[in-house]
Amino acid sequence: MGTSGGQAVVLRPDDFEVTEVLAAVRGVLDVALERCDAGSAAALEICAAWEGLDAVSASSVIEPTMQSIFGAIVVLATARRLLRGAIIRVEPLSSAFLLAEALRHLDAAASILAAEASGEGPSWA
Amino acid sequence: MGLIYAGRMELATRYAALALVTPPDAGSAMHVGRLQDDLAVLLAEMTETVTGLRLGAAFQPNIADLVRHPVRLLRGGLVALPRVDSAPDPRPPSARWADLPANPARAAGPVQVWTGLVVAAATSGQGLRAQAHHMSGAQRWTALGELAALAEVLAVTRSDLLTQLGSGNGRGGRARQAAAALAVEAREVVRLAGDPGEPDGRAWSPVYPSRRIVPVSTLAALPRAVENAGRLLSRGDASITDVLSLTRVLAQTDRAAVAVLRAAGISQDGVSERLVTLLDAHADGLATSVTAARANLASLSPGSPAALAQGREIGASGLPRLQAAARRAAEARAVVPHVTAYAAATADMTIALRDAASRAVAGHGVAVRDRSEDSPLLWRPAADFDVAPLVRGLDGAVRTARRAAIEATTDVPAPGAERTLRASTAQLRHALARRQIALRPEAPTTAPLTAHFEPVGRSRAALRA
Repeated sequence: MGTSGGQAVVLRPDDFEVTEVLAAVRGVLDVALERCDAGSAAALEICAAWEGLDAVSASSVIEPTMQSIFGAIVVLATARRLLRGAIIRVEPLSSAFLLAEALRHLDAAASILAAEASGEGPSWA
Repeated sequence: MGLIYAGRMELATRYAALALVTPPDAGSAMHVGRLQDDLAVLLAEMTETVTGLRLGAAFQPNIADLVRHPVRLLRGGLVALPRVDSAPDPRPPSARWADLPANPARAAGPVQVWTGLVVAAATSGQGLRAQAHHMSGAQRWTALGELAALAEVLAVTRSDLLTQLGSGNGRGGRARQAAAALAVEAREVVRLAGDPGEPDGRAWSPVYPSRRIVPVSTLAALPRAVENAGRLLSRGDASITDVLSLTRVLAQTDRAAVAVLRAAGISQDGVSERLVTLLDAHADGLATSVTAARANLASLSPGSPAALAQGREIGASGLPRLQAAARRAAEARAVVPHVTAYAAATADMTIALRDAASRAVAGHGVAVRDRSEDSPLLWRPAADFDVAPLVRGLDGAVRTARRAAIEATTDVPAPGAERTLRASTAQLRHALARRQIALRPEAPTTAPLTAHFEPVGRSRAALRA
């Protein structure tokens, strides 16, 4: 799917199949990984979320355009929104638990990025 | 364990540590070589005494045999080690062993060191023959681990000697290959002998690791879970996405372990600043590799559900426990021994991750994102160079993990569940670990066994460091 198709999935995810939405989530996570520090705690949480997506659907990727002005935390917000929508619609229901686990990892990544932005370390360090 | 055997073996181990750093000069090389031949015969007999194994038909060993019959292979490797001198020495062994030093501290020069080692091995062998039938399974494994450590010293020093004698090809080439194979075989038996997860007693040819997942209900189980993850990865069915997943888990667990050690105060319980630094560097190496590769690699093979499940168990159960322990200094101090044992266990898992990544790409099981503009497809089958950055990163992490494992096991007593390991044997193992560049055989499983060592001069410097 081209970039314009990718944008359509991001803007109107409910018009597309869940597998396409998950492919778009991967594309958004790819951008988020590029905008995180390599090897950072947040990047590792994003990798963990990616593993959750792989457990539900094949590893296709739809590459959306994400304005370069947006940092990783904004990009992640898009991924979390798409993933939350996919959890409601995914079949079979057991897949929803795997996606919820992936969403928890994205929430953890967002928390780490937010803490870093405000100058704090991770809560457990 | 029998006192005669134990005392003499301890002495032999001390001589062996000296032998590792006392290369012969040109004048004594052949004499030392003959003493090495004597040691090979003695160790083969002792292995037979401990295990009751008799030598089967001779065959060219390969890696799969190492997994199936590790102890049998060690016995075979000792017997098959080509003698350094094709013309047999007409003198009886007693003439060769005449120059015996009073103790290791008084050993002057390589010939005396080797004489001391051979005589101590011979007398401990006599003790073993008298006492073996009284020994428990665990004691037999301990003895076998000690024999194997001596065999590894023999293999490494024989390799040095052949280099010195300039035996590079033809018959010399076969001798070098035999020495390299013996080093791998001996190291595998040393590993098994120190592994409480392996069966006790007379089960000498076990070693297909089960698909069992080790639960991490407490942090005490974390080191065993990490070891098990390494074993499951080594089964050969892990995919590249399994490797990425377990690499990510290991990086996060490392960072949480570092947080625990820092919360506990690094001067606690013999935990050194160096271990913290090494674990941190190990975590960074793994994390950088996995975050760079994650979006670019996908698997074309089904992978190993067992390895993945063990990784999930570590990530979902061990990681939060570590993070919780790091929040309070008292809790952190309580779990420091488990974290140190974890640090020692990371080396084998990191090696298994690197090998599994190489195996996945060699088996055409990896797809790589094709980001070129004109590509009609999103993915293409990966070539070696596509996965090279990941493998290189894991290679670096292996080196760091080995140093961390040495650091973690130097000062801290072994957990109670581990089989007995004499302090002198442990020191010998550390000295050997410093000599190894690449001891693990390369895939595929039918490849011949091989090993690479640091030159002896550099290892001496490392020992003194």
